[in-house]
Amino acid sequence: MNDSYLWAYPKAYRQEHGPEILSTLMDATDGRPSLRDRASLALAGLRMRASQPHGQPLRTHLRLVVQFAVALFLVHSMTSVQGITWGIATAQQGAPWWPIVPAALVLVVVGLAWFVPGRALAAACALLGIYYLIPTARFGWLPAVIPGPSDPKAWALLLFGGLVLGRDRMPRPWLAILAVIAAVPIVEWFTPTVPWVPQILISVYAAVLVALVAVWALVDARPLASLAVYAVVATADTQLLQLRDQPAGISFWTLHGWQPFLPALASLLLLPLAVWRVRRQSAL
Amino acid sequence: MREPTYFVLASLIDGPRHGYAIIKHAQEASRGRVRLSTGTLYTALDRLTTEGYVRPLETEVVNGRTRRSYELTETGATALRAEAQRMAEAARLVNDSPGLATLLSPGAKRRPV
Repeated sequence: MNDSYLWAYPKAYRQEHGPEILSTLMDATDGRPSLRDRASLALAGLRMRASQPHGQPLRTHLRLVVQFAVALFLVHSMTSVQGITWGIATAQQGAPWWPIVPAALVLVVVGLAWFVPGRALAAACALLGIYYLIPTARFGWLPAVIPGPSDPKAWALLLFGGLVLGRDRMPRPWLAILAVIAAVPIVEWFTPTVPWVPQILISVYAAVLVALVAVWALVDARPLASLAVYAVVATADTQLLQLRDQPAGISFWTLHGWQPFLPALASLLLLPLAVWRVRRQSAL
Repeated sequence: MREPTYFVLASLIDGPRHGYAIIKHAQEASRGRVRLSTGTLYTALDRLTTEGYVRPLETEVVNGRTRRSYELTETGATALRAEAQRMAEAARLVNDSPGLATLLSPGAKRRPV
């Protein structure tokens, strides 16, 4: 029988249950599985691979949702600044090589969380030290565009490291999503420096994130809920800081309008839908 | 408990069944409403096994087909009965209501409660 029908299932499950699933499939379809049958098997296999919840309480899933939202914010804050990637911001500060450092740090922490989750917190602390040490050793100071130890990146990095120590292990496909996003600024680093490239890449960055999570919602809606939480936090981080630093006498709303808050508003509408879906997928 | 899960468990009341037998029984018992795909069935069986509601038995090869039957556990039977009682109570609320009989009788008029 054709084992390729079961490509999406984890190897161990396929070895244990593959023959009986194929027998059932052949009996139920008179030996000719349709495209729909194949799609249903692929989706079921991916759901199993995504560590789908097994009737666990909703709060367990919501804890994972928050954990992934923190991770998204970590990648976001480590790889971009004020809506653009680091490339353009740091080139003017005499540190054009800097963007690769935070992006690489995120990839290292994500990699450690993948292979040795118990060490992620220690690794996050060590990497955070390197993060501030490199520019200090090179220049004797932190370039203005690289914020000091009180900035959200430090807390997000530590929080992420701490969270992966928890009893809820983040499913590996989620870490793959983080790794793909974190790799975008590294791609930028190898791209010739032309003024419009960072803007294009930040759009690619956002598009990659939304596309990955939206497609994955067919299998597991928890990252979608995380994306909604993250979008609200990220909007608050960038827009509210601008609002605070607004020069006196000029209205923020006149200058920027309400459009910068659109992703956060859309996310607030999306969040209940995503949570409903999480609740449904976790029901027996 | 979702409807497909209910019918999967209900199909195991009379004894262990293998995958295809569960699909057929669930479809017949639900009068065609529950049509389980192979993927959905094994996702449900995996969850129910994890929850301790069903137990997989040893595989056997019959006419070149590998079969594995699943049996209902005591935990599964308890959960199934609780769900059936919940639905029965909900049905009784409607079926035993004298008001409904009055409403459905010929020439009935609605009166304020």
